[in-house]
Amino acid sequence: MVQGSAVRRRSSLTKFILRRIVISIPVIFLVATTTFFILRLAPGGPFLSERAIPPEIQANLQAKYGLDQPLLVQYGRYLSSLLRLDLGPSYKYPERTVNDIIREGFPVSLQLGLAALVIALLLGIPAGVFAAVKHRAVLDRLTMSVVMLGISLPTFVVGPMLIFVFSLTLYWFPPALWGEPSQLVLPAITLALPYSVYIARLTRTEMLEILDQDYIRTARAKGAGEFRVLWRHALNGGLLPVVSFLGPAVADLTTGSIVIEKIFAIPGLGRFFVESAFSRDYTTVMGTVLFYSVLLIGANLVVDILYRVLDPRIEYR
Amino acid sequence: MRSRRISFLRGKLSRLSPNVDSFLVLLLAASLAASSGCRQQGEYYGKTEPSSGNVFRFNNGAEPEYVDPALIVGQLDGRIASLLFEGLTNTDPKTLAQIPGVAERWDISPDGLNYKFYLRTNAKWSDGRPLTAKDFVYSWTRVLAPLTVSRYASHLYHLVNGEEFNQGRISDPSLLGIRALDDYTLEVRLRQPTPYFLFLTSFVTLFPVPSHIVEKHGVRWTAPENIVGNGPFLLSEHQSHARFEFVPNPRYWNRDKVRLDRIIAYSVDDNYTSANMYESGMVDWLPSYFPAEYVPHLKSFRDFASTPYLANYYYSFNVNKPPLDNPLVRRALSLAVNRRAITDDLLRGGQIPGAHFVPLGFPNYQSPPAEEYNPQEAVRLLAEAGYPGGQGFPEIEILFNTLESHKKIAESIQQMWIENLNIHVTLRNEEWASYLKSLTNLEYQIARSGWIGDYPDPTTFLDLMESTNGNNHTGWKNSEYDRLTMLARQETDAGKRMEILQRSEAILMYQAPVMPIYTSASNSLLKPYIRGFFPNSLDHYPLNEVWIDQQWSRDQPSGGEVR
Repeated sequence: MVQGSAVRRRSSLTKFILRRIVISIPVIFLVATTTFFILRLAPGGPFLSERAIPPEIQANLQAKYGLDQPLLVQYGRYLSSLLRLDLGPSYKYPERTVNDIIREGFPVSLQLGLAALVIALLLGIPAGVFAAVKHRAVLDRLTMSVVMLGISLPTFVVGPMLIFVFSLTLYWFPPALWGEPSQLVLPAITLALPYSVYIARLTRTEMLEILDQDYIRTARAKGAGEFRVLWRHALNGGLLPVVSFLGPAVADLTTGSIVIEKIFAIPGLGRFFVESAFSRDYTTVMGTVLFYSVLLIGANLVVDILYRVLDPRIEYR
Repeated sequence: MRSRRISFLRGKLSRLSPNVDSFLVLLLAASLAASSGCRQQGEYYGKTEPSSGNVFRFNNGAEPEYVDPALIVGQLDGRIASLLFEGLTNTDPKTLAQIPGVAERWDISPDGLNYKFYLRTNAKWSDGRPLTAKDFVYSWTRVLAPLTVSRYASHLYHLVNGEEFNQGRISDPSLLGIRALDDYTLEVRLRQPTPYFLFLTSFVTLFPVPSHIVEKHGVRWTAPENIVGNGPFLLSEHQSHARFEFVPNPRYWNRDKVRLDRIIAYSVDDNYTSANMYESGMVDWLPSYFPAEYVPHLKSFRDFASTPYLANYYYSFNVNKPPLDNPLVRRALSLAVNRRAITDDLLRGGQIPGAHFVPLGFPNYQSPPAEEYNPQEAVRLLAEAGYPGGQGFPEIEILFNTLESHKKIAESIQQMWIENLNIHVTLRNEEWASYLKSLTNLEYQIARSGWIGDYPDPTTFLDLMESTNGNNHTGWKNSEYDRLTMLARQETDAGKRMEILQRSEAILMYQAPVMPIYTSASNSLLKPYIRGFFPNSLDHYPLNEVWIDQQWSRDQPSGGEVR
């Protein structure tokens, strides 16, 4: 019986994953199509320049990238190269392809995002637990006020503040660039703060509820120390909402932040998202949009699977 | 060369987060207060300890689009290519004179049409292959080949048949006015005397490229693992959107003069971040990449320098649309603008006000005198045009690309016109690509414009207004102006040529299809321990002979006086 149900569960999990992947294909196709045509509606083009280019050269440029073809032909060509996972050359940086740009930029955004995630958890969970334990005491209010401040301050304020204090006044960390561990600290903290605040609030709310429950009282009655009660008994349950928050948070954090990448001059992928649109770098816009779509769809799928692993009562549909 | 993209990028950031500017200004104020209070470094901006090792670090402002000299249009791309390649001639940063590069010497025929360049026999590619006249024939032909789609191919239109070949009207490259007489003699024939041709031979577009590498690797030939150059430095590393690293090229013919062990060029496109890097000592040189609003404060530091720069800022009038089809109206508008108020009170960035189209700083050229600000005369001209006291004058609109400084200038000019002429003026801003399209298609009335000179000769500006020039976005056509421009091209006597050009500019001022506002300034920050740097109006800074004075101390004269 037990074995049988496990097999059924596994096969239904495989089916679930397969179905989700199949459903994703039209979604990605739709994203590609919409992006392609919306981009062409924007005035100007990738080779518009402040300096006049002789019409002959302009025509050669257009022809070189197939932009002289009818839109539908261009669209067909784009889809066919997409099937080969070839995102094409960047129009703005023609010595590189969009695949190069993603390959170089994404690992940077990923590292920064994961570092920020660790910091967010290390700050957020203890702060939430602390506030729950000191519920309604001055310290709870103080902790939650700091947390509120964290929510209200956007990253483009926190970042320069940290730079001012730790780079330009104390000279502890470099104010910009990427490559050394010391250069990770300030941007990771800046990126982590809003998430740690959110995690702290989630943890506090859940912990308040749990600390009132019978099994905690039982544990206390049996003489367990306060520390053990908190970290072994209560926190297990208290973290569930945090886990479900992690799914979207991971996707959010690793796709890179244009503001932080710009303030700290980090060569991540986030900036391409916005900048390529301004330079009408069609292929790069398409490439990054599609890459993010796949990433988000993947992250959501993983979260859905995790839910079911954590809570077997949820059925796969 | 084009560098406006940089400030444009910053404009985008501030649009994403509209509060960022004002916040950063506040923060700057706080930091300035703190630095004057706590740190005793008032003389220089930020840290002044040289980095260990003989390394020169600078911020190049953004990721270059190209490294390939034939394709480069941007100024910052040019900075990278100039380290890796060298042309027939070099421009001396002190005198702006042409000095030998790959060519040891050259002869020019008396009619100015025939050039013979004698190449030095010890010039080599960095992989050891000899650099010969054939390399130049290959490289220049490549620039002109239609399928290379070089956007600066027009620099080689001076060659016999250059334009025809580039536009596909002839296809035989042997008809071009360039020929290798032997391995070390290059003959160039021009279609008309071009007094600044020796400057063009020092310009990136005319740099030699290694045929054996270009043909082998195609578009990837500029990757660090493939690239071969002939310049003072080699590309040792490139991290996209982060940095370029260079080491001296051991095969460079003038290797003995190169004193640096390494160069790092960062591609940081945020001006605030860039300024932070300089302040904290991460870079030694910032060519203009810091926020314009810092300039008034930075002026008090000894490592700040401001030089006039061969670039202008002007408003274009669309002369096809009334009321701007009337030269009287255009002159009235121009006379009603107080340029000094814009440069000295509003921008405070070292710009030089002026109603002349050719910027200050050209050797051997003096613009005809221009009346800059005369509201009474403006009112009189407007009345003469049929609008006494501004009555009946239709509403006019100023177009600019979205950027804080353009907006400030437009608002200030709007105010001056309303006050001095009693007319209605509205503003319209568009993001970069849309603005370019409106400008090119003449879908505007008055548009913010600017131009950066390509070579140290007034024609780099005056040619713009020729009726056939693709950059004349005003619709203005003047046969006398066109005739004079053509005449100047044929004139071999330097003095007479300058007189002709002055007459052209006088026509431009009187007809006023454009309203020049100021000559731009090139502002830079350079650490006091850097030597071998010379400010000049071309914004041309070769790094060949730069060195770092490790013994520098505050008591010695600063770099600003020595460089």
